[in-house]
Amino acid sequence: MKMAWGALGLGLALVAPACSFGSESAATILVDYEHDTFATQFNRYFPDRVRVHPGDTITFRQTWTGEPHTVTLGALVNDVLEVTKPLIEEYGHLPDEEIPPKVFEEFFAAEGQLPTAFGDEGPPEGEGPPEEGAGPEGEAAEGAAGAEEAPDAEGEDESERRLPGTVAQPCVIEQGGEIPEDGGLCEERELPEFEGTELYFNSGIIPFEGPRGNVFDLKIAEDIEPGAYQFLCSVHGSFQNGTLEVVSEDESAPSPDEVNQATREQVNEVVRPLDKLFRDAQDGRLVLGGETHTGNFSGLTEGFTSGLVNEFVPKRIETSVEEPVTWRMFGPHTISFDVPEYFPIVEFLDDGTARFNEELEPPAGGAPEAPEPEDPSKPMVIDGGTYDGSGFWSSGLFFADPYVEYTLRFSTPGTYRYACLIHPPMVGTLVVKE
Amino acid sequence: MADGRRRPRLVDLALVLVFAPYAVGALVVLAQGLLAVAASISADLHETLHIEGLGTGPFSRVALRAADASHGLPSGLQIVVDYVFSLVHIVLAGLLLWLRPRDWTARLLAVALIGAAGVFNLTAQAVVEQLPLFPIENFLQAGAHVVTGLAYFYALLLFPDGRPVPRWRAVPLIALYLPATLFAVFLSVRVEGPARPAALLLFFGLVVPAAGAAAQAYRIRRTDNVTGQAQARLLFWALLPSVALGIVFLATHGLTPTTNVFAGRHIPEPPVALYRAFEPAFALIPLALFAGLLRFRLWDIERLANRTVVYAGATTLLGGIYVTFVLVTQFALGSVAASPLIDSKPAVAVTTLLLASAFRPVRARVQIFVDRRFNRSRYDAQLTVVEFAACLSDEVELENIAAQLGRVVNEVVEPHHLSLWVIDGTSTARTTAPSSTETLPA
Repeated sequence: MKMAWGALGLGLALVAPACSFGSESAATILVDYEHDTFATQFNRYFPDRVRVHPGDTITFRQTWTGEPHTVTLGALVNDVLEVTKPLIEEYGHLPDEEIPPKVFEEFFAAEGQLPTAFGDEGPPEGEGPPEEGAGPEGEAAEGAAGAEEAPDAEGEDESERRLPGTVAQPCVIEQGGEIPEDGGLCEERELPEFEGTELYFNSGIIPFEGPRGNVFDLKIAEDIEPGAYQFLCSVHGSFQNGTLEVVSEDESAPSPDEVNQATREQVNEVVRPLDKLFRDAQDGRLVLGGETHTGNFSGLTEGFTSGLVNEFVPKRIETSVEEPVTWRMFGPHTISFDVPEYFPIVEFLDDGTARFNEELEPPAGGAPEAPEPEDPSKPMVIDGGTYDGSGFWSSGLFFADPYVEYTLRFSTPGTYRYACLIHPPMVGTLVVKE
Repeated sequence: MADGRRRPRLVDLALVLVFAPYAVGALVVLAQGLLAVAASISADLHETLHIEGLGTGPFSRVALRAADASHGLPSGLQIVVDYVFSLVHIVLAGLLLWLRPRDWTARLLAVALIGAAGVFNLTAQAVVEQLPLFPIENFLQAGAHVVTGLAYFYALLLFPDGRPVPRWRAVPLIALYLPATLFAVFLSVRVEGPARPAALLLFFGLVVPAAGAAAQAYRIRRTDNVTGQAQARLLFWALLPSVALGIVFLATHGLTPTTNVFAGRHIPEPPVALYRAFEPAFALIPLALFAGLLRFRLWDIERLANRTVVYAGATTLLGGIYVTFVLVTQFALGSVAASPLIDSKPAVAVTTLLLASAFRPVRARVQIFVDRRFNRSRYDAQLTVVEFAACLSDEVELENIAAQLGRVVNEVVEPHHLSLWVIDGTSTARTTAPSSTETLPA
């Protein structure tokens, strides 16, 4: 027996040094970030600038906070960011009313050159080029023929919010080519090495593969010209941007550990204000934009920022039957009970196109539609009615600025778990007593 | 058997190959918990782990888990309770393997105890569950649950004599045990999502202790020796709280007691109530085995104590010689701070070799010393035998001689079992010495 243990020890001693835990990736760039003490969302890349060599592979690793992101590069992106980045630096910290209208015009004119998730209603049903290996041919043909009036094979109508194929799916368009204006799919969807000469080079929406498991590897071509190559997220636009600085082999580039160090420093910097926000909310008193807020919160954010706290605060609320519970909702969230199994915000269809999941946005289970705001600068106040404790119920998705005040009552005692349909870590518990 | 002691048998090698990674896995799980505890104390370590967690290697995931989980650890007292629980399990497992390396019941119990040390440590498990598990991690975790569960299941059935109950033939026994085994595997591997904690609870908290209690109840009724009955009774009562808790928990919480998944959303909320309720109940099992070990000399506590004293003494002696040697040499060379002995790798290697080669003779000397001081009967074995020979000349009653012989043999060689066969010319009779409880087949 002792000899057996010895043999095993010797074997392990011989094998262990041969094990390599390294990776071929020269650098890892985080896409979005979830903090470890509270759920967050950052429409940012960490670090936002990395120096690399030709031939390197850059790993973009997305933390799945519920938000979809892309990594989009190319000459077009460089052109857009040349205009928008200086505007963001100069005006990005100001409230909307203090920014000259001309700045908005300039900004959106530049961004308008790019296909973005919210800038196009997408192609009419079935008009995108067929995806290789996608659904049965019959479905595609039926979609193409009956797209104008009839629901598609899944029973969806034309009001669904499709994403442009050039945003949702991988896409490469060389210089001289054109971006499909109808939001259709790109002809070239197999991503080659990035050569730096492309007009448009998009990862597509990094697919959901579970929290912290969503990866896009960008291989830099060996013959790429040294220089700065900018990238942005086609879903969140110019505010989420970064730069790859390609340098020749004789110049130094940071090691993966040094890149990670830079990532952590940037993360700590942007988390700090959110940390205070979250602690204040936990203490039950929050000052935002000069207004003091107390009570329950659904998401937290202060003015325009690339970071949001995606939490219900407090996580556990106790109430009584028919006693109103009110949340102040900051940021795009839903308050949903008896939620279905989590589904990502973007749904890929068999024909290769993608759309925002239709279950997210509308109220469900008898919840009222959001009223038209009388004064958009004031908070929206909604009485959600009464939830009887059975079946799927959702407030619907709100984008209101500065916030939504949402009130709900409960007719049945019990312990209910509720969640935001968009952000999977955002879960709360509500205890209703007699 | 003698041959088996000299050469490792294939089955031993296979056991080590399976057991070693399993034990290492359990220790890694426990180490992750301690890493998180350390990160909760040291801000620098917490930051370092976060940076390491941004990497891509296996340790990166461990680091990220520990850093993330460091914010939501149980209280200090609960952490201590968790690790004392695990430590008791690990120590007992080690003792079992050391004292009874070829006993299959001891082996199974050791496997079960090592697994339970990792599985029922809430601090460590909270760290493991901090991140959603990758498929390979899921596979390993489910595999560990299966091995731990089955080892516990069979160990409790076979304890203490290694013979299965009920005393049926092989085919009906297999027919009885196979469905239970498959059920255990099914619960551990196939049940996913929110029902998984309930499935594991059902298995570990109810099925295993209930089967063990039933087996020991059977032994109490069917075993005819007093020690065997006492052993079975002890374990039976130790298992009952787990069975009762399992029933109460399932009755009050149903099949979804608590979960870290809510409709596909990962929520790192460890099932605290579940752990805190079952931890003391599960702790009773190794404690009962400990008590049995001490009270009924199940596995030679005297031998254990003797070896502990001998090895600790030999190690201390050699360590002292080494330290003295280094200090004296440094003093002789006139430099304590920068001795070449400290920096010289060949010197360290030679010293280590010398110490290693000296260990066996030193241990033998210490053994003699310990036996002379604390184990006179062993040291005086020769004298005892001489005295016994002298006593034979005065004694004529066979029963008295048998009793005397049993006492002497017990004092001198401390056997597990002792049987005395007497040939009276026409027939062979067997008598059992007073210390033995074993009844050999006629």
